[in-house]
Amino acid sequence: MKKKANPKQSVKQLQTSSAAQAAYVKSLKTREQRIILIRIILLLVLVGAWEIGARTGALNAFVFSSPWRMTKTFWDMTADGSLFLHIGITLGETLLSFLITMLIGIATAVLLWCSRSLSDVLEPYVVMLNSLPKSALAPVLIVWLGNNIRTIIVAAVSVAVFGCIMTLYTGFREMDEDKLKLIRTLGGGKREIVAKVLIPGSIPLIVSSMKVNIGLCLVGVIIGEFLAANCGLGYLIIYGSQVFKLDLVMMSIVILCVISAGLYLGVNALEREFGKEQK
Amino acid sequence: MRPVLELSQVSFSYHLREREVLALKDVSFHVDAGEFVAIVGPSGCGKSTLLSMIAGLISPGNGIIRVDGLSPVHTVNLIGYMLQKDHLLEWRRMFDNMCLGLEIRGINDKKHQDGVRQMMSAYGLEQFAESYPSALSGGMRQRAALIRTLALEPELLLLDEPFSALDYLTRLEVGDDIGQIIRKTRKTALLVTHDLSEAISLADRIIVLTGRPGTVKCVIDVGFPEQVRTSLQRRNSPEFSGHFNRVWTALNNTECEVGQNEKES
Repeated sequence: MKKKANPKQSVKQLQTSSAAQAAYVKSLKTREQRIILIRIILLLVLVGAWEIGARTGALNAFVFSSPWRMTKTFWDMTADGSLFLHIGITLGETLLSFLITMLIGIATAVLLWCSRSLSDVLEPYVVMLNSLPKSALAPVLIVWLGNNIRTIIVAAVSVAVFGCIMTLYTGFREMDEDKLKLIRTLGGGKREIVAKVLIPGSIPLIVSSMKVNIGLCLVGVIIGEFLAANCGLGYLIIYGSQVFKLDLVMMSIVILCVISAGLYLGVNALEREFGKEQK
Repeated sequence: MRPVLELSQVSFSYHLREREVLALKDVSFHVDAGEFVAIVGPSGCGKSTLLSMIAGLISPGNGIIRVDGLSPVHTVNLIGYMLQKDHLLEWRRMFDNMCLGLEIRGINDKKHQDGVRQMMSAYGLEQFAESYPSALSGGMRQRAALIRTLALEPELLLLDEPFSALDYLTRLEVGDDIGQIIRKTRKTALLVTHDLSEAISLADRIIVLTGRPGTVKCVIDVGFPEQVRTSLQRRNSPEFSGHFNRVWTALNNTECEVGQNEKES
């Protein structure tokens, strides 16, 4: 019997509220602003210290690079357009493997949920494959699939998919038995249960597993690119380290940081989109 | 007249690895068309199992169940089942929730949807059609669950303690409402409950089950004067306490002394 407060109403209450309430809201806002400010200062201090260290010789700029040198590399590669190719390849591979992971993950978890015998038989294998360090598979994948994008995609999917299956399957198992009974009393079978209750009722679970998997797919793509690529950020990092262009390596790592944050925020936005529907 | 529901010598056991638990033993009774029958019994006497068997969700170990003369496996479409909780799906709007059964049976057409809309306005839910279940009170949710069940136009309604998850006041109110709805639409209903006053305030007959293994101890006719109709009127009528005592005695005595309808003919 919970009743959600009407958002419009609460805004109204805010406007007509007392001075104490206004002061409280103001103090909350001040705190938020202060946190953002400190975050920015922290970033500037770190970058500044790095740059000064490199310039004064406290840090060996050849090994550690420096923000200025990274920026220069960034501009050079932006100018000839090659950087966007590498970023685009890595992003594309990540999204593709993420899509494949989610599809295989959901389909397999539903299948396991539908057949108790199948899940009992396969459980130890899934657990084993999940905890296997997938980077160990990469050399084998190159031999099997060749020095190409297929290897990278398969490597990325293999990093994420088993955990995804296990998370979703465990979540599916916790679905309220009575909701399943409800569908059966209304005349539905397994198919209706999956379509009307299991999947729609597991959207929050699926989205939270997406948050984990988008990051894991990026890890898998970089592993794959280390070994089997001639473009992409993973390739830039390996190539850069081999020819001692540490500016290139560090710049690629910084770009990876930005990409992973961006992907995470993307899934977060998706979650809010789904979340507000049911309120 | 052929009874809508007929059980003869129905038994059921649960199977565990260590042992077998006999939940129901030789249960026989029948429910005629338009009748409202309540089953009461101590907890764990297999009341809910009985409903699951009648609904065709599990098959009886022994004995015969006939719904409209057919085995429950073939009569899923004749039966409306109300569970303890409303189980409205939180991600669906109220109207879509009430059409869930229609969707599943592939009859989500204009005609049936109009039926749902009519019931919604009759039971005071029309302004909530586009709301999500979380916006509604427990009583309204349970009414919506009833509409979801009635939308399928069932011949036989099975009510599995449908008010037990509600607070006491809502329970009286919704019990009264739902009782009247069922009477008005002349549905045949079988209610399972452990609340004796609820059973007496709603049913025409009460079947008293023994503790595990559950078997029919006796059947008590609940008669009220003509002018006493709703369940609240029943609760206030002088006959109420007499019926209550008879059911109470029947439940607690090892021998059934009530003497009425002791065996189904």
